Amino acid sequence: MDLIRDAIRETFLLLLQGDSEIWSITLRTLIICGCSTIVSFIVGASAGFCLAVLPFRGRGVLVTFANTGMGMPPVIAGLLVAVLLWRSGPLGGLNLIYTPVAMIISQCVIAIPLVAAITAGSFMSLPESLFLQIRSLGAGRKDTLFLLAYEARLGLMVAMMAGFGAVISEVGAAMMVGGNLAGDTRVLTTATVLLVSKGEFGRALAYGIVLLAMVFIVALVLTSVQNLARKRV
Amino acid sequence: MSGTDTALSMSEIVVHRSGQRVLSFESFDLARGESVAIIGANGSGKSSFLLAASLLIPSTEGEIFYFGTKISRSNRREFRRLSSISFQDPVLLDRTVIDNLKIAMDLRNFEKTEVHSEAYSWLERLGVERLALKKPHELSGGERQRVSLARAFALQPAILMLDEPFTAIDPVDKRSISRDLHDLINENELSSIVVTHDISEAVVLASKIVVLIDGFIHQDGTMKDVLNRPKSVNVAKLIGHTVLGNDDARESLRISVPSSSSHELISFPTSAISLRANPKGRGQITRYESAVGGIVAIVRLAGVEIPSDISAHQVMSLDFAVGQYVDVIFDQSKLVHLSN
Repeated sequence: MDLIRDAIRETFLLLLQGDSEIWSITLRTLIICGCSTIVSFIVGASAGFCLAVLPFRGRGVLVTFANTGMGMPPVIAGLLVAVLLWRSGPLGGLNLIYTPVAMIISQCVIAIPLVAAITAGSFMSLPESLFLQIRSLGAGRKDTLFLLAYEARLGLMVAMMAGFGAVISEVGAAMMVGGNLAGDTRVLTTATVLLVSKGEFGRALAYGIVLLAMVFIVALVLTSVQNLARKRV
Repeated sequence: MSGTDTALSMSEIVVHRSGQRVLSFESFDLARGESVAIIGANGSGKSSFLLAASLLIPSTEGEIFYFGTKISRSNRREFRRLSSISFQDPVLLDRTVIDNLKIAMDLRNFEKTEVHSEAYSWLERLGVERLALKKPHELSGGERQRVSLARAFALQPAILMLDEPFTAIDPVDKRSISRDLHDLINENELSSIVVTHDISEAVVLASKIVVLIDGFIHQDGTMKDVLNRPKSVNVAKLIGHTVLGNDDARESLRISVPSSSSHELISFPTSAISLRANPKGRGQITRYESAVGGIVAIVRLAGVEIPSDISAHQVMSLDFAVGQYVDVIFDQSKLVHLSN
């Protein structure tokens, strides 16, 4: 208990005293995870919409792939991206390994199937007659997309929350392709792992509390928006 | 739109859905200003017919013409905008009622300055203007259907398509909505297709009828022709006729049917039978049943059960209570001979 009490006290001290390290790691975590979430959502939601709405051969197989991807271990995603971006790998010339961009790519590999599968499920749960009715009104593809997205907005918000949850909590891939470089690719999860390995449990717990608080605040905002939308349904 | 008198023409149509052939017929024509009812049992292909006619699903084979112009992949969306469709379970967007109309009108490129007043006037016409700011989940089934119809009319379609418009609503709403619908179709001289399994709805809203069974058109013609002269047992049953074998008919109704006739069955509407109270009559009322046109009395006559039209006044009378004996009077002019 002392350890936890000390950690909470240390967290407040670090934050209130303006500890530059914790603030910079927190900010970096937010930027990297925010970028990953946005990219994952744009790509994943678009893919999910196509999987749900467009008739094409092999759609069922792709839906199965997306569903399988929901359970992809972050370490595997990290390994794949590391192999691609490694100096001698196919994309080694881009010099992205051990950079925040590499971390964003690996986090997107983890989150995109998740977002795509949840989005596809949300659109598929809309009645077929809604799709037909919108088309009968004369809507083109863009109008159809926006009208259906509005109808599936609760599911889309769940997809975004799931994507954010996946990228902010993963550590294996971030460590593997980011390298946990201080001041560059060190984020809250990788920093926590490092501190624990050094036996600095107090500061590690402080980082953990900040991470939890961040997830809580984001979840709170999205849940509030979701509840607001649900009340209007 | 060209000057042709035909609003919609479909020929040699075959439609597949989920790998199954659901529709196959030679031709269907809808004249300008004409109302046609498509009737059929569940699974007969009625809804697929409407979706194909409204260009929402492609036909595997055949040709469709809107006002004389052949529909192709390139002009499909343009011609889709000539019709409005209202589905069995009214599909409204999760927006306010007025927004549902305004969005639909925006999609059809109505003049932006007129959209609000035009939408509101259609809500007024359908008697739901007080619901303009409500969301769909706050509406009853009848209100949703009225909003859906208001949206369909607000688009000022050349062809109106209605899929089972009264299924989801109670009898009181059904009566008032069907009256409004009938008036609006006539006032606007709309060409319309109404899909229904209920012959009474077809009679109210259409002048011609097409009977669809297992995806095939079994009979079409004026309402009077089809209702009085069904061409097959399936059609006769679908339009509410009683079908009897010749032997049963001779025994029960005491009518003369040639024994060597190639027509082995007869059919007649429930209106061909009338009942007269008589404690010594040959028939006995066994029960009442709801039927296409209202309530019918089931009369047992020489071992055969025959449904008969019965008035509300008769239902209230003790002379026509279940178990009472009655005289059964048969109007032979309504008799139809059928092949098995």
